Amino acid sequence: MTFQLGSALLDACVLAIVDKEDAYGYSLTQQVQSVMDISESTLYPVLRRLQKVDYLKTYDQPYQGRNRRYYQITEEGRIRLMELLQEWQMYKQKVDCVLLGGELNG
Amino acid sequence: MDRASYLKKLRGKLYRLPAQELDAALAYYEEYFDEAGEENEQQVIQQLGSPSKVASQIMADFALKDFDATPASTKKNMTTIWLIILAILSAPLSLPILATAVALIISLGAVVFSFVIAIVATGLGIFFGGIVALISGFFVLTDHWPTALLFIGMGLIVTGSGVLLFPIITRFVKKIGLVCVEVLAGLFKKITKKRKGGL
Repeated sequence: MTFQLGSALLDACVLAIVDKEDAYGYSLTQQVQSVMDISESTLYPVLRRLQKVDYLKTYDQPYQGRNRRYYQITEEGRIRLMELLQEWQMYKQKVDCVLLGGELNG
Repeated sequence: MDRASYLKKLRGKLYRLPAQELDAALAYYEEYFDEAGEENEQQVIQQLGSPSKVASQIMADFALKDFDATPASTKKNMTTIWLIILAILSAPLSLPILATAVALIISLGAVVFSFVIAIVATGLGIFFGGIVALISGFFVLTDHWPTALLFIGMGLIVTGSGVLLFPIITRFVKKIGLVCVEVLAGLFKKITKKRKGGL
């Protein structure tokens, strides 16, 4: 991807994905990679951090004789996601306005 | 390299983390290998990158977040500084950048060290200078008491101001620690930013 990706946008993507459905590390990486060019090792520190600030919690579920660690969004995580979405909307509008020559409202 | 030796190397690079953090990270990457499937082992190793790279991302994130989360203390500053330095040194950087980083860290360390020594020495100098004046005052007490009084008085004033200076000096030294952490964190972000998908 040509455009740089900041850690806030990465947080937003992760939170949005688990907001739809609980996910485990590998599937999360695949899903984020489908929209952003991140390296495979980028996600773990992000997940750990989001867990520490209580935006995510985890639970284990047996799968084929081993445990899968699922990540689930918390109430605080949802609130944070809403904030991030609002900021993204504003940011997107401003960038669109410059790039596509639209009207800047507000 | 196979999965077992990859994970072993990763564990080796992360051994400075608290046990709980280390186990969580290892468990995550074990599961990652499991999910990818045995037949994709080599591919996963290649995609993840070297254990050093993975470890430095984890350590840097841990150092910074832990630093933000708990109240400041000199000991914690030191731990954070140390973790960030390790993270910088273990990051897969090109030789010139690594050399620059090492040089920067060493010169920062030297400047801070001499600064701290100078300040502490000044404080101690004032304190002990006062005490010496005080003691010499007592020595001349029998010979010439006005001089003795002058010395004792001066000694008390100087020692007192030395004592007053100490809290200021400690606060100052702590502050320097904090600034160091911030400078190092900034340096780390700067040199790792160019990597693919860097944080």
